[in-house]
Amino acid sequence: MRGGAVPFTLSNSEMQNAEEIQALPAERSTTIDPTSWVDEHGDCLFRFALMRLRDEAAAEDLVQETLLSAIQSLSTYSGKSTERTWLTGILKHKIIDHYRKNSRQVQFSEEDTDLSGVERLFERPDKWDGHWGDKMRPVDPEQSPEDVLERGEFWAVMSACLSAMPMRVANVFTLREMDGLSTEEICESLGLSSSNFWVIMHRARMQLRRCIEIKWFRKAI
Amino acid sequence: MKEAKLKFTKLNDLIWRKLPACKEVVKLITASMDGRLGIADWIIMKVHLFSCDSCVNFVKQVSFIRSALRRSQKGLDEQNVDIKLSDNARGRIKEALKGEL
Repeated sequence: MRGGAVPFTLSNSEMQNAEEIQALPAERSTTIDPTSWVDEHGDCLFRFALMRLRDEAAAEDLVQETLLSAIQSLSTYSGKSTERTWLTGILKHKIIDHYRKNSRQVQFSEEDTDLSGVERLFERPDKWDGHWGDKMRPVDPEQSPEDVLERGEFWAVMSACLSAMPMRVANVFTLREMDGLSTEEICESLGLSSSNFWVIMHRARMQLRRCIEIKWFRKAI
Repeated sequence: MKEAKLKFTKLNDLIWRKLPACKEVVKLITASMDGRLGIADWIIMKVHLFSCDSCVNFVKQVSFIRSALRRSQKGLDEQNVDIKLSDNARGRIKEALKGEL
């Protein structure tokens, strides 16, 4: 891979606004009542944290820390976003802090950075070895993301495919693709080298794409 | 017309034989999604995509997945609505909040 400072991207516009990540819809409160937060938002915040940490005790702790932080910073809540969006934003920071504190324990194994599995897609017995294998060629999705946003079956497939990722790989991938953090922020938080980041992201994208292709794109056509 | 077609075939053949194969180009494609390509790699990627439908479909798929994931919160949450805070945790967090108010 030739390194270079000039960023050429395929879909830069998609990366522009990390804040576009949608929090769950919730009624905007006219009065703020922290005592109701646990019942109104606790489960949703817990699921958000659990999906990222895969550790119930840690997820519960972060929900608690999030709500305590929210009480302390009530005066900064402008009311422009819903309570849930605001609380989810605080939780995202707590999760990144959690990764940062535990980054020394988060060791990436050889398995996490092993590309041999994804490179099997390009094994061919003929002179075109290195190009897509005959039955491995990606199909045209023939649909737009907007077509699936409201379809539960799609999210069931996505959920299953994300769960199949090794945890450390999923942590990196989720921070990047779902939470919209930059490469630099993720490497700094997780104590990752940029080359390890790249291999992990490549592996994660290849694995998830293959899973979604088999379980969704090929079935949808 | 025939001549133009022959030239195109030769160009295509050159692209497929001399430039990096799909296995290497998908690495460039995924790297470009994190803004890491230098101009030489970017040109290799674009030239390859000019002649490879499978890699174009690969780009469509990974772009689709990225775009869906950026708006995945509601869809994924609805898959797991049965997962809730335990009664113990709920009580403990409520107590902690009371202490702070």
